[in-house]
Amino acid sequence: MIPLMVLLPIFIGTIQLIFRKYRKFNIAISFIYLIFNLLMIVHYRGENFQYALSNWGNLGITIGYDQMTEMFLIASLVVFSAVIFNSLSKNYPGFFYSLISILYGALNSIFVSRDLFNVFVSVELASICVFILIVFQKKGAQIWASLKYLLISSFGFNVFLLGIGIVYTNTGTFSFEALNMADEFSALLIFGGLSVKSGLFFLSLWLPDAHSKAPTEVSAILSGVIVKIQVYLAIRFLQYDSFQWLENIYVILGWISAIVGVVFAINAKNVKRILAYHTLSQVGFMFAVPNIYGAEYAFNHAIFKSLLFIVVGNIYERTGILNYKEMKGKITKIDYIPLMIGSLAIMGFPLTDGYVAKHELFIHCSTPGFVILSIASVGTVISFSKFIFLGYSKGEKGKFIPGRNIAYYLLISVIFYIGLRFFTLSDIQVTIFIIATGIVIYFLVKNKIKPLDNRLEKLDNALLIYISFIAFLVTYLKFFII
Amino acid sequence: MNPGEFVVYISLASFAIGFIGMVINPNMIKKIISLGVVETSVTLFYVGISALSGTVPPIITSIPFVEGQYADPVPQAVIITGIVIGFALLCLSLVFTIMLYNRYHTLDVRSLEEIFQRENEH
Repeated sequence: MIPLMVLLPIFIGTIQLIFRKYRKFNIAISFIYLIFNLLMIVHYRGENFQYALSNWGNLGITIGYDQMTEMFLIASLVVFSAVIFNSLSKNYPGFFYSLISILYGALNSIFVSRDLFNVFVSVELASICVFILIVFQKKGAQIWASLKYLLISSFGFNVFLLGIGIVYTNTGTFSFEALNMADEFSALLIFGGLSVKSGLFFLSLWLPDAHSKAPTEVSAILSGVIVKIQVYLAIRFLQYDSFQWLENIYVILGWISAIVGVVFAINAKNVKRILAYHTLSQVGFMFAVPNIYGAEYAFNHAIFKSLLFIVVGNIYERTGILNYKEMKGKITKIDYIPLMIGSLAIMGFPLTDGYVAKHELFIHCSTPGFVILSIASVGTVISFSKFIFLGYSKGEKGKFIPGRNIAYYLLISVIFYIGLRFFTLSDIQVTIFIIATGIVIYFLVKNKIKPLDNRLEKLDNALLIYISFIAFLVTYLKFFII
Repeated sequence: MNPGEFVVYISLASFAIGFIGMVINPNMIKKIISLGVVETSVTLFYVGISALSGTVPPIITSIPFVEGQYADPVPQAVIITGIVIGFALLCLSLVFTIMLYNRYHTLDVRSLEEIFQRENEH
């Protein structure tokens, strides 16, 4: 039944592509696969198994299901449902829904498959859908952001392909288990290939442009789920022997990304760019603890980050303002409440899921990691105070849009469900100290905010940084490991 | 040297050449063609690793099966998907480039970056 979770969305996506003129029909059949996948996730709850499809032996595609798979499947289900609900009131053509369906199928395929080549194909299918979704409104800046993303990431995935070729020559199979017997160089190429899409600072510098220029719903999907593909794969691959030597590199890259991303975010003014830089920073948090706790953080990040992107995108579409200072006094109450809840969750405020996830991270990381992540958390609080202190204005009357409200309620209820169910009082003083410090610093630096230079995000520079990272990894492997 | 190994080294060299082309060419079309070189060299790499075990086509001609220097069919079979994906990506990037050219009348990456930098500031 597991392959149906992948094939049904892709099949429905194809039908939607044929009947793309009938918008309402397309929306209606989108719910078929969402409900089906919900039922499947409930049915397989808590199970842990792995099997190969058909009788091809170790050449067949292996499929598996465990706790981590389950978490990411739920995250993508929730984010996609919210996105479809939010898009109901907008006049998106049927083509949009068909791409969303195919993307959803490809994502499920990545999370359930245990086969390197299948992962490559699914990631590329998902990427092609995303490239088209970003340029959906055909603005010049969107096309450029998408083209930059395309060139850098498809170069990176060729490196990945070289890596899995070496795994095949070493072991004779493409299954994940082969990574136990493969050599370290293949692990280097695989990790290098993944890192270009992972959203780590200095490695995926296409990200701020692509995430901030994309349409509202697509930004939510990009930051919520697409970035998590690489986080998921990196964390899963680390369980295998040939990846063990990379663990320290993961952690250090995570620290760097957490700090540098937050510095850029504090200094940004464009609301969507603030959120995009925060994605870089938060991915750093996940890489700093590359095990099941990092994956849990990724799950919670998917929920609150997509909520933030949807709210900010809706405000932007209504008012046409991107600078957060000009937004003051133009936010309606129905937009402000989810904006505040999302901001509190990303800060790690008690009773939200951000608190639970950050608490787990802080318990399970080393002492220097704890210090660095705390500093990054203070930075997060400084940056999100910009949103919290915007306030709503009573004079501003928004229209009542049911679909948008359902999307908000869905994401907010997940935030509070996890936040209340796993709430613990231990270490609450650290959280309160971090939040208080952040707010105080915010009021000190509030008037000195000036966007930093984005020279590094240029195409050639991004490519050069990426290749020097791979060269660094090769040197490190040559002189310190072998 | 084993012919497979020779092909593998050639493909890695052309991978590097493709990357250098991607970085030093300011022209968007040339960048995309260099990406095509990178993709083709990865295909060549897979052909090379399938020839490591031999170059005879893996077809049984006589019924008492004779052990021979057969090429490995699996990498060749899977890389077909890779070729298709590379083709799709190249097409998409060329379409985007055409759309950009129709609007801004330039293919030069530096002037495109400048245009969007100015748009960002406004």
